[in-house]
Amino acid sequence: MNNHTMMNELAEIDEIEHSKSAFAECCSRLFRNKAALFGLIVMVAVILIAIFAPLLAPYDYAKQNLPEMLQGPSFEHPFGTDEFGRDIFSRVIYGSRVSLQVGFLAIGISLLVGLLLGSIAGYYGGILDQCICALMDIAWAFPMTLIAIAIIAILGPGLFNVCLAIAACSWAAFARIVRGQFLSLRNQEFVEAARVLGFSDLRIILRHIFPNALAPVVVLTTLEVPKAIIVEATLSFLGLGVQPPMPSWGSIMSSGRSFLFDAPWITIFPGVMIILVVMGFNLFGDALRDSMDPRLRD
Amino acid sequence: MLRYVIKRIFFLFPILLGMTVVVFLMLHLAPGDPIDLIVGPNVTPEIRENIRHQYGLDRPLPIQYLHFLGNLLKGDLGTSIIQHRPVAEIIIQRFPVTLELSVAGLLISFLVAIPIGVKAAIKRNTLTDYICMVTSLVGISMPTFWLGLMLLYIFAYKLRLFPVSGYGTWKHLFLPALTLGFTDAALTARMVRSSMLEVIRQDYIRTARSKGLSEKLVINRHALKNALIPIITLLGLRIGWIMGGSVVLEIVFTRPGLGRMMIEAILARDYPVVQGGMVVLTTAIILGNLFADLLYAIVDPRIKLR
Amino acid sequence: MRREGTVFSVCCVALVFVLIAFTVVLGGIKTTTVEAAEKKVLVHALNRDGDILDTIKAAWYSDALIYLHDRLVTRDYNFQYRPGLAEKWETSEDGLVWTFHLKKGVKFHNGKPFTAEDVKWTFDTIKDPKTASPFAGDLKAIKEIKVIDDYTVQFTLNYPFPNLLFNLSNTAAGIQPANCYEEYGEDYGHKVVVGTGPFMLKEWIKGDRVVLVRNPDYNWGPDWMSNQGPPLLDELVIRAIPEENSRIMELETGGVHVLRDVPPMFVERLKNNPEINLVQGSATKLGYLAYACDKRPFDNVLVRRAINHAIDRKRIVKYIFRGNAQVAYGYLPPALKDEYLEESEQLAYKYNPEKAKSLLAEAGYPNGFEATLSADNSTISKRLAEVIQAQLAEIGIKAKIQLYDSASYKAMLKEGKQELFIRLYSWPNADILDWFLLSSQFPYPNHSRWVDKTTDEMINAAATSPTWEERAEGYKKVQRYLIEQAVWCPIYIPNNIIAVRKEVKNFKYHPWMIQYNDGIDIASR
Repeated sequence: MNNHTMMNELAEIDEIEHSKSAFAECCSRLFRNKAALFGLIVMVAVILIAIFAPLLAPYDYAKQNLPEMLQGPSFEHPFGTDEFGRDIFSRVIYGSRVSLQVGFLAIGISLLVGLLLGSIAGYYGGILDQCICALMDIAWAFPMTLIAIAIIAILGPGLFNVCLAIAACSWAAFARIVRGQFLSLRNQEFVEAARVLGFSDLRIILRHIFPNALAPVVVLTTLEVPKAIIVEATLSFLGLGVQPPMPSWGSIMSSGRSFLFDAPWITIFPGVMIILVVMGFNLFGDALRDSMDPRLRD
Repeated sequence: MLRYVIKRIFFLFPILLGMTVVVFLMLHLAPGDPIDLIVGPNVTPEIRENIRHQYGLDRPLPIQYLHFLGNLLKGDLGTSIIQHRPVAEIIIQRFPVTLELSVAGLLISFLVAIPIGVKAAIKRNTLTDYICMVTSLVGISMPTFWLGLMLLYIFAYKLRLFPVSGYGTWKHLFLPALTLGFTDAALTARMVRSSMLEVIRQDYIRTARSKGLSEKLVINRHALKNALIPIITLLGLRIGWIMGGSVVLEIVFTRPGLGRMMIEAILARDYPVVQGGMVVLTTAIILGNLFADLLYAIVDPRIKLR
Repeated sequence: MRREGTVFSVCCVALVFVLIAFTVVLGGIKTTTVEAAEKKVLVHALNRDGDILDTIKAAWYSDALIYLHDRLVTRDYNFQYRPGLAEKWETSEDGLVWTFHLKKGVKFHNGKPFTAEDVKWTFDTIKDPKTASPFAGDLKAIKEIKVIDDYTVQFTLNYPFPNLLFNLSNTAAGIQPANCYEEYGEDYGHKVVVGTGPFMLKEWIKGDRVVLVRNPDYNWGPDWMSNQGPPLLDELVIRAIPEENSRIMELETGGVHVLRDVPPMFVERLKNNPEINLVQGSATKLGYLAYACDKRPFDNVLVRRAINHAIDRKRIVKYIFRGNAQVAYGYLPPALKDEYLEESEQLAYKYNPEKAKSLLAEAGYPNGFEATLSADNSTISKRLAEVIQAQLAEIGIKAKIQLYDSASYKAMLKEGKQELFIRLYSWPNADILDWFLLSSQFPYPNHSRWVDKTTDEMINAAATSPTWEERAEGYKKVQRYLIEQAVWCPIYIPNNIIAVRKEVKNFKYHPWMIQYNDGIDIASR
């Protein structure tokens, strides 16, 4: 018993030591990288905008003012107004809430499902692994946009359903990467040691393999969130996203499409916002990946 | 090699089977009745039941599924509930439209991405590299439909260089292919660059350099070839992406392709068309993956086939 | 290394060639089909493509069907019933037997002469339950069709039904050659369509366009047209463009010549375009806000009246429709001249939020209530939903918007989950009220869930009146009652707006179908 605890503690300390120095090095490299810093700033900024939207937006996003419809950008309305005279600037600010909610929630769900199935497949192998892999291949083979549309056609439009639709397509990426990590880690010495010591599978998975498999999952998350944001915009653009008057960047663009000639600003500003935010996430994710992949170091 | 191919093709079937089950269940669980879209109001329940029977929609779900599967094996994808004609015929008409756009998009993407990615890698950390990489970053961060709308507005509407909608001539194809090609090139160029960077660092490139070979020769003869190998696997994965991208572009540019057919069929609950479309698209994607894997196996002798 | 390198290069080159070949083959071939310059081609755009070009089986009638087929009865520019393939007709005293005398010398596109046999076959096939024709329900008044001789056909009815003329003049009532299904099999309605109309099918690219060519033998146009002969146009192309802004862009860039159903927000900009003429007329459409009348609180007539008082219809017409619509108070549009109730506006509920609030209070909802507001996801419904939501909020009704695609919307209405919901009907006949409000239609299409004996009696009396005039009077009575009960909240009647490019000559406005064979021509640009 004594022996067990000691071994365990040793293993843990070793892990912590190991990950601590790697983490510190990783951070310092990140901050030296200007692009990553820019990405981080954009990410933090948009999260803050989403949280403090009611304080930042000059108008109520749903307040209609029909006589002031379709006005161009001006001092009162920096991004102009839409077909109901609503302030686009305020709507774009509130739209960040939807984009981020969908981004995080959808990827959160995929992450959970992916981790669960990926670790089961990777740890146990065998027939279970084959079944899960087949499932992954199916999810992988489906055209994402179409499957998301089909799911929404069944569940009906709405924020949570959009998340489910995105998650239904993107969990496979997580499962695949987690499985790969588990495959390579499950025969490592420290896992073998834990197994010899008679720890339960759950404990081995959670305390020994998991922390070591986390890095690539974090990178994948930063790179999958922007994808989810784009898919949400696409679905909203097709009229299958959140319900009005709640704005999302995709739905603002969708209604702006009818006014492309007379009021191009309705379509342009949310588009630029998407590019900016998605770029921020991608820059940060790329830098994170580079800093964790020693082969690409100079 | 042959064993590997056979094994891979054999593995197609469980995947297709699983996919048909998923699609079948999803569609039949959806609210909405295709009969409503076929018949007008003022229709007696008797006629409704008649139509339901005619399309076999009155039978229990498992029977309907087995029936569908049986026909599928015979190469019969069923009959469209709304168009009253064989699904296979509809798909044969629509598929070239999507294929044309996908292939043209892929072509533009590779023609643009490979030179740019290689250039950026060779001139690493110079202005050229930064410009290429920032452009491609903007490219991957842009929703495809947004770029399509902007190009449509500028080139078709303002400058009147290309038609706004429709399909048929190369002029109809150009704008959507450019949109698809650009967003895809952005991703491919980044992959080419990082793959190239990795290769340049390898020993044999150093050896080649130290042997005094010209830089151009080193890059073209040795580095590029090896750097492109991973890009081929990418090609397989791109096929699914490209087809997904063309769905949205078919809406923006009004092209009568498979994607638009699928969206219309999903919204109308035309089950046989959706099922048939999914089977064809998925098969195309899986075959694309298989093709890329095989190509990969041929060009990279290090890969041992299981 | 060398050998693998060669294999690799060969693969790459081959791949590129395959890709190029594909593009050339798929994209290039069709460049040759660009039409010759001297041909007169008119392009007409719609928001969708037909599913099948067969009037018997189609659930949605593409405009192409108007020109491929002729009907027994036509409607002229003033919406009056006039002879078509039937030269004249007479009705028996009791209104139960209708005898139609057919035109002679009419030929189908395949050369066969048109006779009474074709009329009988067409309607018998529609009525046959095995065909499952969507149009069958509209012909349930017909008991039997008898061929008297080659050019005389007799319809016997189950009950007096003056509306038969309307049904026979519909797009759905196009006459097809007898036994065309046996002759052409599955191709009929896709590769082959045979009618007696002024245009013939040349090519149908599904989802994109239907190409029609003039019927050179055509000389049996209705007498109210200036041109009874073949059309002046060589080809009529009917394109399907679902995106409204793409349709407008095509019109402005000259890719489309005639556009039906122009969305109201584009009217202003098209008016300012010197290359485009706008033709407007009142449509036989009605947009309304409905509610589930059997659910609380909508079962209370005071609540229904309050909602009617809460909607500022003038503001909606001004801003959502930019003035290109009429305010609606009654249940039928004024374009149905005979049945329209002139005093609708006096009887109906004017915009008055204070009154609405007091009515709500009287009904026991001083602080309003919460409800869902459903709509289909078309552009105009979406916009209406947002404005109505804001206007209902003024009187304390907190509505939550739920949008559906058209299939789910119908499913939802059928299941009866609706509370408040937005609808638009488009139908050129008063029998629309039968279809939406009879208790026999509950729960669908009677989606306002209005089950009421008085309404049933009034409508049935009107529909089976022996003469057209008595029928019209009957429907007016129905409308008075509906207004009193506030069964719906009528909001607007959109204008029929048709945009026509300047190259198109001699364009005449028709309230229901554009008559391309009536001397419409196109000048080269």
